[in-house]
Amino acid sequence: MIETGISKLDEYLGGIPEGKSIIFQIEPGVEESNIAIHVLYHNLKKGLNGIYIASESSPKNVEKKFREFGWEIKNFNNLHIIDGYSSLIGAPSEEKFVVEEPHDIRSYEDVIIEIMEKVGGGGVLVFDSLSNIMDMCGERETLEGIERINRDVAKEGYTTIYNFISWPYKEAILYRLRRLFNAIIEVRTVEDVVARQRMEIKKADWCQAEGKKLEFKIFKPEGIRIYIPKISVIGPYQAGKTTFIKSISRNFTPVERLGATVGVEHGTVDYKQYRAEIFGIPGQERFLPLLDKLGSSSKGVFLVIDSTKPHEFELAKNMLAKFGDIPYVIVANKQDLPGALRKDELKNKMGLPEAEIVETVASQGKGVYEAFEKLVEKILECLNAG
Amino acid sequence: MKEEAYKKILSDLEAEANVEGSCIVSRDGILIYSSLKDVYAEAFAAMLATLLSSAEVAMDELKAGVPKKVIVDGKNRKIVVIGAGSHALLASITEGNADEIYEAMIKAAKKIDEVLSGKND
Repeated sequence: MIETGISKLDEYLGGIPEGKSIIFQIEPGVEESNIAIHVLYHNLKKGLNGIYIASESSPKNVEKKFREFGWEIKNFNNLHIIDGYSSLIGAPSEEKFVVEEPHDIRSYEDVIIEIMEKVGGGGVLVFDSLSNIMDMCGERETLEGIERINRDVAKEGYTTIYNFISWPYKEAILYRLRRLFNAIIEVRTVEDVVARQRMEIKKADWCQAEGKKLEFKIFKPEGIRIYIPKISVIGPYQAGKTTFIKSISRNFTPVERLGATVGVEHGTVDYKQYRAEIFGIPGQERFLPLLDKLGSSSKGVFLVIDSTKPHEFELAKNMLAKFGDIPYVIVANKQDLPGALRKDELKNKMGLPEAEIVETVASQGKGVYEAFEKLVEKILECLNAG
Repeated sequence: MKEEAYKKILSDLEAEANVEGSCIVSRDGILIYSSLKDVYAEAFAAMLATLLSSAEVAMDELKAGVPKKVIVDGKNRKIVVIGAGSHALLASITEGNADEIYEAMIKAAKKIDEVLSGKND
């Protein structure tokens, strides 16, 4: 199995069987090369062969794109770049593999076969980009060529990744495109408040992943991150919200006076391939009117409670109710203190038998990432259900 | 892309008034766009939303209407925060007079609201 290196996507797809072809149908305006670059780099690191067809920019520029993520591709002798750009602009090429006739799809086929014969089978082939090659070689001719390429490279054990900008092509072309590939992943921009990108699996003929979605942002140099623009942290006064945020995030900005939080605190969580912006809202009852204003576009909520203070649970539930029906995890904090109620007791006491509760000692960092992962899962479930 | 539109609105504002930099933030504290340098803008955005929403709640308690602007008057600089439609706020930093940038901010806020609500798509 080949991986994309985007862990959630790999989980949905169950990996990509060798020889399959995947097209990323990318909305114009999204920086299209980045996803394929990630997939390729992930597999180069694992020692697989990589072939990158550069049709939109020079091989030097491709190197630069990798370098923006801190990746030096010169270190990989298993990467082979096909220069489909230099001859297009009439410039000499320094590359070993060059497309002599960039207006003829067969010229691309010839170079791909040449490389596969030289380096042997197994690896990842990236087309950057199919839409550009279609513009140069003709739509019909390119699609016929792609059918041949998919067949040939599959025999050699290569998985093919196509970048494709979804310009308004004729329906007949799009229909043929949909049939040509084993998997289709649509990428588009979501701009409700914060701009980010959404991937949706439209087709994958080896698994049941159709309709699965994830939202992400591309950060440089960190790379692709499943992105959650807002998670609120609420809970009664002194339950440990600030400590919880501090224990899971970087760049934490506390707003404390006399030991109490008096404003919205912020931190960024970077965990595995996730990035989330965390907003802590003060817990004193007098701040409750601010919850409506400051919590509104949250994608999920951490309700932090002091597990030794059952008399505060009603207030905690009232706070949670202000967010309506959104994913939440109850962070049962201060489990190290005598008399701390355990998960099942808390479910009973709070009258929330179905609630996801994670026992934590935030001051020691215990359980905090378990809580984070559980909430992220719930947020993704919610996205996929919607 | 909306980001390009926000960039232009803020650079126009900086060209028109004595504004050092600005932030567009959702009413509940998510950073939408910032032209500020050397600031951890995500956390700054959360503070700005707290400022404006706290002012709104305080004014509401007084039954004094909606606050037109919130000014934080520092030794070297001032922060001016105003609403930009029902979903966003605009905050600008100035070394000059807060009142003098207000009119230009109002114009920018109107444009931000139009972009955010897709009225100029």
